[in-house]
Amino acid sequence: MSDALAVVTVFALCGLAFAGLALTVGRHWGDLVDRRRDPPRRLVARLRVAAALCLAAALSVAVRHEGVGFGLLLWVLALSAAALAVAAGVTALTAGTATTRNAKPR
Amino acid sequence: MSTKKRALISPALRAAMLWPHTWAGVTLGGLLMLIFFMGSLAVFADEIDRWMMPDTRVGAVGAHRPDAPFSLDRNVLPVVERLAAGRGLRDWYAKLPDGRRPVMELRVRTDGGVSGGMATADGRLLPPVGTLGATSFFYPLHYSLHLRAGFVGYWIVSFATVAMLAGLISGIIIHARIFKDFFTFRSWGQLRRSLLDLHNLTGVLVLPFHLMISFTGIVIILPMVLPAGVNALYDGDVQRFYDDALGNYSRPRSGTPAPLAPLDPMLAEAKRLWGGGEAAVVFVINAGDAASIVRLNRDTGDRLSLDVEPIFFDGVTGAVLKHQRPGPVVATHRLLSGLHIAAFDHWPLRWLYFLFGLSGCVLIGTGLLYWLEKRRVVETAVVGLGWRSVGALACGSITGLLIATLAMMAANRLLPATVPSRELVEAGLFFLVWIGSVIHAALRTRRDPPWAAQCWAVAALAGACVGLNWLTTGEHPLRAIALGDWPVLGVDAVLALTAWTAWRVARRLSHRLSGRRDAPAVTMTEATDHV
Repeated sequence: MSDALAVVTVFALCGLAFAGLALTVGRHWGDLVDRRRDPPRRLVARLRVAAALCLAAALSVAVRHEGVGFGLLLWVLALSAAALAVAAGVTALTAGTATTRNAKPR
Repeated sequence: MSTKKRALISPALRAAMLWPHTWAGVTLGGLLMLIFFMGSLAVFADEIDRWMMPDTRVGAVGAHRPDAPFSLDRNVLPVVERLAAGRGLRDWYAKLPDGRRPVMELRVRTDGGVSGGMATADGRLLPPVGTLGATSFFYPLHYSLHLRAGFVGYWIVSFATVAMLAGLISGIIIHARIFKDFFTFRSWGQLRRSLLDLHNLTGVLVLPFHLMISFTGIVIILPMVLPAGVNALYDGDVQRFYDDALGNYSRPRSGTPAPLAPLDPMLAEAKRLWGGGEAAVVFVINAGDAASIVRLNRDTGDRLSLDVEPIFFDGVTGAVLKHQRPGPVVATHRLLSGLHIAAFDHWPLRWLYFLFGLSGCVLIGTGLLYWLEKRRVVETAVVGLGWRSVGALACGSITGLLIATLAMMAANRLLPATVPSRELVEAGLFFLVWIGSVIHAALRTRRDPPWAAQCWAVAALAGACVGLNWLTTGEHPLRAIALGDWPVLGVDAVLALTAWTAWRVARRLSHRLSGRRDAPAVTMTEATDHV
């Protein structure tokens, strides 16, 4: 695997994991999927397991390709970057919906 | 889970954490902003140096090309002789060219004073650069505030860093819904809620980096901050401590002249002892003396640790005098320092350090802005002196700092090379412009700090920097791409992005201010969103 591809894979896997986790949060599930009911319990559990697997896979790619030191550092920083990217994505997807815009601030 | 959490972090603890968090942020926010911003710039110090020192843009010279092997004797020694200009040499060092700095940086101490300069890899001495650049101005500002006397600046920075650590941890305790708000940034609606969302988001999501960078920042100067051990074991003799800990070697001049042995065999021997890896710096101490020492530092581009594995050679015989591997504690210290300084050759990590450093600025900036906004909506009729001071401080440390930095970079392209002490004029301009922008903010802050005006200034200066680089060096983006001059292109791109963003922000601020309706007055409790 080339350097660039490995780094992109680490970011993509972390992003995927956090995108799944974002759907398990009630507020974002409501805004993005279904406002009427909470996310189903079984789906939440499955998303969490999938996210954990994605994060573990990302760590394994990072450590294999970059070595333990650089791999761990890259993974930890990629976690933050991916989580920020997912938060930005959630904001971008939610900002347009009129109901959220008019919703009362807590 | 929520009941368990409630037991763990009680509302009383949260309330107790709030006031130190607020006070530390409001009083030290400006200083922390400077430290984080300059630290972020320091990640790309070499690239900014190329931008500010056009003579050193000599292309990516393969310093270690196999067809033309780099020779210390043939490429470095003649430059040292020229710098010494016939005066008696005492000590000298040369930072060897590498992938990011295609030139050598030399410093020579002679009987008649100190001189320095830069030279190309093939030994051509370049004209004086006339600037401190990022490595000697922005970077030292990050850790010493240029207050070196008595290490005052280091102490102030350490104090602020400890406050940062305390702020991070108290912030996590105050933040009531870490997981529910994990991905939440509501860019719409009330400004103060958006600010708090952004503050929480950067604080929580980038927490590992912020904790790491603050902690390792203190660790680097640990022997200075916690000197008790050195005082007890070495009687406060720091030199002897460093000789022991870092494997240094020193001996006094003998007074007997002796010629220097060829350096290239020492370089080869050093590479063999390192087991691969390149040399980064060569020092010659007591040059031309029978007690001369040659020191070679290893390049740390391929490792996290800042362990430079110095090897000391006898300058006359060329024999190895000392090559000591660090003990476990020193190795840990070097690793933690390496994590902070990020000298390793890894572009994705370098960009992440840069962006997360800037995210620290966002964290501090949104904290200050939230404080201001919350009090502004509460006291719609009157905002007091304290509010106005914090407003001016926030403005001076957010847009004012940007203006000062950009003004220095513009001055770097505008000042003619003939100006005496050009580098000091540049540095002086940085501080003058900064003070000027703080005064402007203080005078103009009534209902709001002059954000829009200062954003216009940022946009104009950043755009001017790109234009001036083009005009004074003839290097425009297309030519940079053609030449493969990525450092200069990167700096120009970030400057252009800054100009565009600042322009957008300034335009929006001007619109918003003209059509602003005053919100109904609320009480402090109503405006409190975090508990």
